[in-house]
Amino acid sequence: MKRALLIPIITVLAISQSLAQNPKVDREGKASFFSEAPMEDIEAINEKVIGALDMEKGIIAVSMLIKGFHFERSLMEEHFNENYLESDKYPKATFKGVITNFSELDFTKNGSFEAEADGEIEIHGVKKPLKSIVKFDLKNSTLTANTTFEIEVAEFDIEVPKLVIKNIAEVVEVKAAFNFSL
Amino acid sequence: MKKQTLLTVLAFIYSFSLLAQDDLLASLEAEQDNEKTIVDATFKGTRLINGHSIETRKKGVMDFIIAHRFGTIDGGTYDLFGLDNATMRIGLEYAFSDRFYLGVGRSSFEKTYDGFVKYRLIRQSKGAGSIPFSATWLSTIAIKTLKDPENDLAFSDKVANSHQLLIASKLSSGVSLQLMPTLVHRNLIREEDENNDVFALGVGGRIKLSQRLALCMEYYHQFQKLNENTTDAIAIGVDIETGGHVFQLQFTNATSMIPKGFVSETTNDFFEGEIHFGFNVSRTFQLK
Repeated sequence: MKRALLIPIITVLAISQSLAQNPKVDREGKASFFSEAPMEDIEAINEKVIGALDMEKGIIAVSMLIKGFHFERSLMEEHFNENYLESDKYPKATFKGVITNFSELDFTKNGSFEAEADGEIEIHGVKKPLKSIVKFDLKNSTLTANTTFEIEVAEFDIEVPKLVIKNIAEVVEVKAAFNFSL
Repeated sequence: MKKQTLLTVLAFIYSFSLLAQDDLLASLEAEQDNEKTIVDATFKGTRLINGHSIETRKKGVMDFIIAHRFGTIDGGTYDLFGLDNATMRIGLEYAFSDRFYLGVGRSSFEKTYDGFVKYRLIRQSKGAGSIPFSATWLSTIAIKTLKDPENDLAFSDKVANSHQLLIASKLSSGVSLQLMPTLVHRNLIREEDENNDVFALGVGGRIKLSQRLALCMEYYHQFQKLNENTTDAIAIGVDIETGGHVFQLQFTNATSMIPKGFVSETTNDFFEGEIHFGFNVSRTFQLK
């Protein structure tokens, strides 16, 4: 008898929760970075980034595989994984945080607006706080989110040997872009 | 039955609702945990030391490789530990795809031309459907062009070929091991030789000492030899990587830098000090 009661209660709870907080997920988000150094410019792009936006609380989460970054030169890609990011040990880079002014945003009509994401980024096993401006664009129930920020390579315990110090920038520009269908 | 279905549905719905909770990130990460990724860089270079590693370059990459073996170090100061003498090989290699690799080379030792075909049959991978090892096929042809005034040799008499199945596993980011079953075939052998076919098994490996420095070892044991006088090739060396270059420095009792040579024609005794110091330098160019 007890169980007969419990099941409908759980059902109601679960459904209400899933309806209310249904997060939007983009599994083909893009992340790229650009390093501009005296000897060479290095660019890499990852097109299999997973990004999620919780439409109720404004929570965001991003996860990507380091091995998903592709470079123009294959040897750079190998060195990136082997020597710098150590993707065997630290296979992913992640971000989790919130949109601070989420309650003020109106996702019911077309338009562009800016918001601030405040959270924690993890690269190479090192966690750092990160604040970045996110540009939202809502058009016919497709919400795009774009952000650009800079990170200091040294802050994430990524060692750059003196020999190649002119090939790799100390500060790298990172971009990320997602499409969510509302 | 009904209850079971209901529970499954509930579990499903509830897992969706979990997604929405604070640890949204954990669920995203879990999605990627099982994603298949190819294990790269089992070895730094396409050569372990004397012989090939399972590695090939990625599509569109050309590799220029120069290898030297100096004289044996037991010559003492008179030969400056062998530095007065050197044999060398220059080679040019190209990756037509991530799996298919071709190369040609010329060795000063017996004025030998060689060509090889290398194909990556299996690539070690992680995640869904993971494979714990890599396997690469290598076939090499060597043509000796050193003049032999006493014998009138046909072209086919000067040809030797070798076939290797290279099997390797990157056990951790710092440790890789490789096995190399090898067959060397000669069309023509000299009177003092006994076998046209030489069978050998190579074992080798590397241990990374730092991000850009690795210690390598390689040993080929012969089960059927060309003749009684040949010895097993032993090599120990270090790999140093600097951007587009890989420098390999080694000590070995082998003189030749191609499989038919170092596997079956080595006559030096490593433990008697009949050791060559040598190096391989490779430079990579991305053509496409």
